[in-house]
Amino acid sequence: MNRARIVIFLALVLLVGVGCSTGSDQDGSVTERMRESVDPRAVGFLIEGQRALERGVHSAALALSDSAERYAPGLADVHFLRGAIYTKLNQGEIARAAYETVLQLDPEYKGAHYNLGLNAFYQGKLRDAIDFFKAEEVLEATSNLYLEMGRAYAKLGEPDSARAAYEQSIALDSTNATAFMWLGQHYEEMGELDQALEVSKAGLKLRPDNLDYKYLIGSLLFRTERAEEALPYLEPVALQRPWHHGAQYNFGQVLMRLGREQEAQRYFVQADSAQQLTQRINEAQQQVDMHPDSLDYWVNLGVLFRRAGQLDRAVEAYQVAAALEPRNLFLQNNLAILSMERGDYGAAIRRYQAILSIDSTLADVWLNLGVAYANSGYNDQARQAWQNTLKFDPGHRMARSFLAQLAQQ
Amino acid sequence: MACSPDSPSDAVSGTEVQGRPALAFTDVTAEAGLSAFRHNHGGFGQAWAPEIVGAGGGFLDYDGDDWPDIMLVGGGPLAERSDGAVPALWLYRNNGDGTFSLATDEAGLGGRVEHGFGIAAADYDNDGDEDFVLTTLQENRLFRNEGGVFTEVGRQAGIANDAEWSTSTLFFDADRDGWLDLFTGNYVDWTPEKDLYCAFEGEKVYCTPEGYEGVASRFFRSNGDGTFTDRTREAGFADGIEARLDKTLGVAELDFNNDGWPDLVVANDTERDLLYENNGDPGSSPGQAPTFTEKGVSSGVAFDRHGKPRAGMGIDTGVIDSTGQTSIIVGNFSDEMAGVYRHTGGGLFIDRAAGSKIGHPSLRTLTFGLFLFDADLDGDLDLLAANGHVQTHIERMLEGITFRQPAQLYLNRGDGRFDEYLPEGGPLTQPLVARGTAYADYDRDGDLDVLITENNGPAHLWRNDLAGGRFLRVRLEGRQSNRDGIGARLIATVGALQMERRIRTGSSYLSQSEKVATFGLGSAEKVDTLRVYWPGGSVDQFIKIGANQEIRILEGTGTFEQAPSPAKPGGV
Repeated sequence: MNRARIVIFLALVLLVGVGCSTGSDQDGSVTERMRESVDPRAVGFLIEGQRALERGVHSAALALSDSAERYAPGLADVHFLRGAIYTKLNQGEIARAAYETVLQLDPEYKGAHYNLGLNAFYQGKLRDAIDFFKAEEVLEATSNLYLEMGRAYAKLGEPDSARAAYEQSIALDSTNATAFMWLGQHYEEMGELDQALEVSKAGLKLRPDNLDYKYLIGSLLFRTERAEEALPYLEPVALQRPWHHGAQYNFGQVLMRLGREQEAQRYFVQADSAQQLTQRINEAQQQVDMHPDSLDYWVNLGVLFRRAGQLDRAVEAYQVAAALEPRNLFLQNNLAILSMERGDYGAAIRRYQAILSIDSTLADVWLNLGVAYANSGYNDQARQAWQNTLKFDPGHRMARSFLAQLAQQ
Repeated sequence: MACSPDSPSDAVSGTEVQGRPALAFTDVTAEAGLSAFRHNHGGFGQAWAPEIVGAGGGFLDYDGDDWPDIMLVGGGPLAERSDGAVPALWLYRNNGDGTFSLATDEAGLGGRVEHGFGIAAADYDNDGDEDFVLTTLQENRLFRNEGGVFTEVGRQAGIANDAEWSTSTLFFDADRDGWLDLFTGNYVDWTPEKDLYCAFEGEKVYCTPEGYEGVASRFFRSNGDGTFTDRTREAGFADGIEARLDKTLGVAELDFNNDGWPDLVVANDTERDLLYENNGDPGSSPGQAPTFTEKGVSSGVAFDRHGKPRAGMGIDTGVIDSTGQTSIIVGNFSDEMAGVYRHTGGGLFIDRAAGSKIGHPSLRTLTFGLFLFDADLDGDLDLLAANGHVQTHIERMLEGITFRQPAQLYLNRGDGRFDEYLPEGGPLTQPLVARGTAYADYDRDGDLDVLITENNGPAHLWRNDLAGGRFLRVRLEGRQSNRDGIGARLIATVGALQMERRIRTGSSYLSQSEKVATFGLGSAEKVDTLRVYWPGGSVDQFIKIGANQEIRILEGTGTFEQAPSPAKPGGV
């Protein structure tokens, strides 16, 4: 699930590639030439497909990519989109085949080697990953490319190459905060703790609200026996992320050193609970890795992420599950609820509407749709939705109560 | 992007020994007469969990001649099989001339068939000879030494358990009453019927222990008459961790708070490591157990830097820098740094894995046995880590990780930061499936030699051929304290340098190192002061002890005698 970068890259390439920009990105390439004469319907399906992917409606995204292929079978963009979708669906082998098709159609297609490299990295094929990244480097050397290259080298136990790649990443984009943080982690692993701190703080300066960065710096300060300095970094992470066992544990350790033993014990207990939940999540993740077609495993993963308060990841898991069974109302409903919990009322409204398009008699779904509308400030639509609740369940007390509240406004 | 070939930036090459005596190890297994030994893991294609865990061995002086003998655990069958008996124990007598002779039968250890794992050796009955305990997959065994012949007395002594899979074990004097107690680490609840199925590419492979329930380790208090009583619960060892999470592979004795009471640190596999602080309350009545409080989490030694449990295996402790504080080193799985923790005072430890520079080189190895010793006799403790994976297919599972792995020697800069020693050849470059490892000066030339055992393979004896480097070796003989002086703390000073050693059993993995304190003196000609803090509470102090000798100190006499010269009757 930790593969967001792959999609971001796709978005850049596609938006440029399908004529939304200057088109200079693939200037003169096979794909660029094809785009100039491609059937406009293919372009439309591709854009919609990418949007569906971004919304996490994977089944729709796949259908749209298939539709695009019908009008432009030889267009590499279609297969690139398909590779990105299958990556999201945890189907690494199919994704790899899709990217290989991209390169057969257009050996200079930017991003395909990169994504193949990521695919190889996640499968533990580190040398292959580096080879793919090097092939991409010939086409386009980006900051993120060197970042990933550095990570592969680090995993292979080649620290000098890893450091050089991270530094190259920063040289290409001095605002790439992740590059600073990964370089910092590299220095820490090598035992260069002062350098690790310096570089990590530079990363945090670029993204001062990033809790992950605060955690890394706080835990590093703690390990260099600067408990008081570590406190303000670790405290917000521990408070805002109860599922983050590292933050709970390190914060507890800092409190111990500051003589606040009773408080520390509380955080150690939380760390223990979080650790157990993390272990269950890891096991669930292994299950979906082994059985990416299993609806139950994806739902289980979604449930566990939700329990851990990692709502973004829960949504991703449910989205994959929903792609496996698009008409499963339970999944759609859970996705809608998760969207509400994340404050994404627009997504929730879309989900509830999708459910009601399958079965418009579900009173509770109308109720929730009304709540989503109300939270979005659409009172008229909310009223209409709650009235529909009463239409199918005239005695629904909550709907009556909401309508009464609305009438008083 | 062009990068030069990588090499760990803090490595020391075999030829690069600025300011240090030239260090070299030579594999002398064959010439020492140890080639016949083979550990047999008992497997027959089922990939049963116990196969991949054993076994250990180590040094003991069973005939009391001051020449370290070698005991190796042979493994054994895991099921009723007809492919011949596997000797459970192999005892090699040191001939004093660099060779060993198999003495298993004459020492009464022949004909034993059981699947053994680890040993710990000590004079538990204070009668002047060295006994030992063998942990097994079933019932643990205690071998009482009577003039160089052993008798198995586990049941009579009360330390045999009920078919628990035991691993590392140690003798220590928990209540400082002069009688050695016993801590036995237990691993997981495994039987052939409970064996889990894990597969890789359709083939059964060894499962990691997460799927198995742990089994509580046990503490046996000596009754002072050669027998023991199980006091696990009364001593607080049952409160430290839920039994199902207690998956012990390593245990070491230490006194991190220097209060004179021996503490224990336990390495658990995929569960948190444990630190048992001795409460220093031996109790007033003879039957009362001393008590311990588990403080792994709050002290900061239970987890990695992100609060995550690791696959702890071998473990050792020692003072590795000028702070005088105790450090704990734990061998972990590949892709996990070794655990390196230093006591910072007040019962709290700091994670120094990365800062010690052991962390990064340890990421690619799976470490079982490990110990701190002064390999180059320069006065500080170095670290030897014996490695070898548990998945025979690991090369196909994870790029860059191998099943057979060379051992790693980390040389201490003197400040608790280490450089990995990378010789161009020799035994340290030899890939092994190492498990147990122990040290002793088997040839009595003053430097410390290394014994490594392989899973389902041979044992290796590596002679330390250090060129130069002075030393002082100290043997203890307790009178009020236990006879071996186990739990004694020795502090030697040479100018501004202060060195601390501790007499112990246990540590490493399933193994027993010699119970002699070795102080490396570099080029110094004498030790300025030597203080011995006996576990019974007395202190002996000595000044101006000449280098390059082995001495024996008798508790409370205030004097020492030079150990017999390194020439064995009948030997060289």
